[in-house]
Amino acid sequence: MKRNRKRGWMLALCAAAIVPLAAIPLGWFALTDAAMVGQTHTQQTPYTSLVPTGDDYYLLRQLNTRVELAWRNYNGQMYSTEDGVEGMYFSGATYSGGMTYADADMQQYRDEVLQTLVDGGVLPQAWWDQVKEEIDYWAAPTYYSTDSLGFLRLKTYVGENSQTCLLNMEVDSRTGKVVALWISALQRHEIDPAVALPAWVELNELDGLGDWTVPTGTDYEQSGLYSENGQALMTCATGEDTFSSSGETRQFLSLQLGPYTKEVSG
Amino acid sequence: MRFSEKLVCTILLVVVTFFALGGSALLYGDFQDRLSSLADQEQNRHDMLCYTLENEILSLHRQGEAVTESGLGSFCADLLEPAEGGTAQLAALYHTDRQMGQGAVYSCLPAVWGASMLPGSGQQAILRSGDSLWRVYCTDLLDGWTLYSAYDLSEAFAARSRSLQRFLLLEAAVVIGAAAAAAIFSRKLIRPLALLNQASRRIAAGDYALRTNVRTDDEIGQLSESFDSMAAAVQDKVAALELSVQQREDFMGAFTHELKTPMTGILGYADLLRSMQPDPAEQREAAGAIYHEAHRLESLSGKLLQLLHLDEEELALGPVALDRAVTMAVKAARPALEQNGHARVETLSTGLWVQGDTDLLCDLVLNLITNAAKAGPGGTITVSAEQAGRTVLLRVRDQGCGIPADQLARVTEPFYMVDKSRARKQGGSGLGLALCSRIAQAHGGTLTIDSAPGKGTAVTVTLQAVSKPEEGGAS
Amino acid sequence: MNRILIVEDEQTISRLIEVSLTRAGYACTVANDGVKAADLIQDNDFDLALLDIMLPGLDGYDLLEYLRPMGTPVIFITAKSSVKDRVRGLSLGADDYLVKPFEVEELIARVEAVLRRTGQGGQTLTAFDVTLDLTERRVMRGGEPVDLTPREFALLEQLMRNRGAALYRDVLYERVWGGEMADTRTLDLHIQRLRKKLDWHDKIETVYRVGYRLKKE
Repeated sequence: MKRNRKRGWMLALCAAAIVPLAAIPLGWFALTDAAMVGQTHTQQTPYTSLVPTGDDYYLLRQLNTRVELAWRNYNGQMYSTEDGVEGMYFSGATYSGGMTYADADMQQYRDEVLQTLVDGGVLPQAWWDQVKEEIDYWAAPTYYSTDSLGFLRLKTYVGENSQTCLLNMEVDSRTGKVVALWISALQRHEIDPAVALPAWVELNELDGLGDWTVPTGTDYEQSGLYSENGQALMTCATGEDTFSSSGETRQFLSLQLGPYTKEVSG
Repeated sequence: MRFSEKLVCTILLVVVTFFALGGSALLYGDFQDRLSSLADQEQNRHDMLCYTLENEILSLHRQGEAVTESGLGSFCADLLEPAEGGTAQLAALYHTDRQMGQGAVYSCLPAVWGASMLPGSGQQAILRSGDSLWRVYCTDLLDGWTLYSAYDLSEAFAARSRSLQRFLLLEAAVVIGAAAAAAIFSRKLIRPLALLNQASRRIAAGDYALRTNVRTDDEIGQLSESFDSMAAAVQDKVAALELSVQQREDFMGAFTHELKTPMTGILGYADLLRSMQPDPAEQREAAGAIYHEAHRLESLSGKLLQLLHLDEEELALGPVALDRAVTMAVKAARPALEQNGHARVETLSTGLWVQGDTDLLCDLVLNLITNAAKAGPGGTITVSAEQAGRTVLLRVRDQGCGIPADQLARVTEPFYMVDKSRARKQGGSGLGLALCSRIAQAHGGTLTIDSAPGKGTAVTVTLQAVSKPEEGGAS
Repeated sequence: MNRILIVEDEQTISRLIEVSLTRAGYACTVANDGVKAADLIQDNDFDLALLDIMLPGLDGYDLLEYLRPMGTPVIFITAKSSVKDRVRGLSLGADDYLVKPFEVEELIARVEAVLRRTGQGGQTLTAFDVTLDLTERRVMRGGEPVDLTPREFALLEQLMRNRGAALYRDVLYERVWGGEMADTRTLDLHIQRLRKKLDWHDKIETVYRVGYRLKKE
């Protein structure tokens, strides 16, 4: 009786052991699943981002084209577009005599563009106030010219026929982005290239190039930002204006964006 | 628990364990393979998505168009819109520096996936949403965009569940099959043991002649063999014991008979004499009967004592001159010879010496001569001895009535008498030959009887020969 | 007179039984071995057989089977005293079982008991004109009943069973009263009374220094 009962117990125990053993796969998968969910792994073949070039950016492409065409022009060559349209590059005039006198609309456009620079953190407010004050003081006239690629040049002089240029600005007429700015003022104000240049990159939507760096070991170490991908250099400099032919001492601010290669700079 | 059940349970446990582990490893490997091949596809799709988006961004830049959130958002939505042939795809686009929660440019990821759960750029993770599992990929794109894409793994898990279901069914079939096979196998294996058990029980219960007869060429067979030889030994012992008990009972029965018969006679006749005065003839008969019966008792007790004495005590044997012992015996046998028709005794002087006890050897020869004399009155009794190697054959031969062949084997049993009435008349007790046989045994020899009814009997006793000792030594 | 067959290979014993039973008034035939006994059984008609078990030739059990169909009662006489042997003998149909050594008195008592039981007996002892009916325990003298006390009856039985033999006083006393004889007066008195009641003054003789004897006819 007692032996039979013990035997029954043992058989039941054996059956009870077989069931969980048979269910090993279930437990196995439950455990591996739990370990798998939420676990972060490195991707096997991570996606490598496209490397943009200067040509991928409209503004830089315009600038590059301008350099190339200007060089061809110099050799008297025709240029041809991808559409097969051939023609000459006509650069805009750079002296007031060859430029068109700007009306109030154009002057307002100039102010809006400059205000954009100020708002984007590129141009310090002090410089803008200084320029504004001197323009208003002199009631300085503004002239403009455009080249055949669509770059708009705006120049403001102290007076008609005056050689003293208060402001020289180049803007891509289609996107309204500033590619060069020259300001001459009686008083110098602070501008930090390390702040102004990245802000300008962003304003010109060139940050997609992703490799704007200070070109160490070059002349532009203090005042430049260079993109290897875009083959472009941005500079920001201040100094004493020795170009103007007026009696008093003037100070200048220069912001410049242009195609640039190391070979050339080297 | 029976042995066969233990065997079956053990086999089942082992089979189930290994089958389950092996199956798990196999299914797990398959599943991992499937996941990783899916991962390749997913990675391709994710990379394609990344490429498409970056291309769009670059193309906007190239055209000098502004890259706006709404523009990219609707572009993403358009990209994901067509339900492709593959598994379901989810995606989300964020500004890299403006992380989750601050609003996505585009997102169709489940809200339950918090920022901390999502993988970083270049990483992947499997996340749960409701019942389904998704693998989420993350890559930082150009211009500070971050793209997430998630791919449904439900199909892989469902496939695994189906495999698992099939495996469990297979496992159940294997367990049942293994149980049946193990049961049959263990039964076959245990069968000899069961037979052995059964046989040993019956042997233990007293059936000593039974043998297990399990013939297998393994340990069970050996056990059975050992058991059989043990049973044989037990059987022999029991038989010997039973024989000894039987002999003892026979002896006791014969002994009581031999003892009680003369006592009855003595009592009866003594009572007669005591109670009345019978006539002289009757009186003489009664007295004669009492005398004879008492005499018989005396002779019986003497021989019996000698027999017991031989059984109990170790003999001190020494060199005995056979001739001397025979001479003494013949002298002592004279009255018996005279009673039995004056039989003649011929002795042959041999000069042999044997290892023995003079008195016992004398008794031996005396008993043999007396027996011979009783066997045939008037005949010639020959006592002879010869040496054969290290033994001496002492022979007493008569020309008497002989012993029937069927009783030859029994005449050395105590109290056995071939012709009881004649033995009684001659005052025999039935112990003579038994005594001779015991004396021969005590001398390390044997007693053999050859007889032909009507022609005579020859009793041969073997004794150990010794060389004649030096003069002055023991006689 | 009942005929009794005695089968016993020990001549001393068979002779003793023969003498005792003859004296007690039975007609005895002796056989010394089984074969002779079987012959005797075939040729004669016995009222009782006394069989030794251990016999040369046919043994007692064989003879019992011979005797059973004839309805002859059997008493075994044997040295084998074990219960097993006793049961075997009785179960085979022996009427009684007597173990050696036995006393003659007991033998006679058993023989009578068996005869009485099997209806073969109804034995009477007769001497002169007196008849002793053992079954009815009655004494007749010349057809007339004689009134005897139990002791007198027993005494008379002893004398009649041992006719012609001089019985010792102490043995007589022992057999009738039992135990040691205290004085001779009691026995002598009973003898006187018997002589008187039966008018056997000269039939019961006094033997000097011995005891009493019933004269033979």
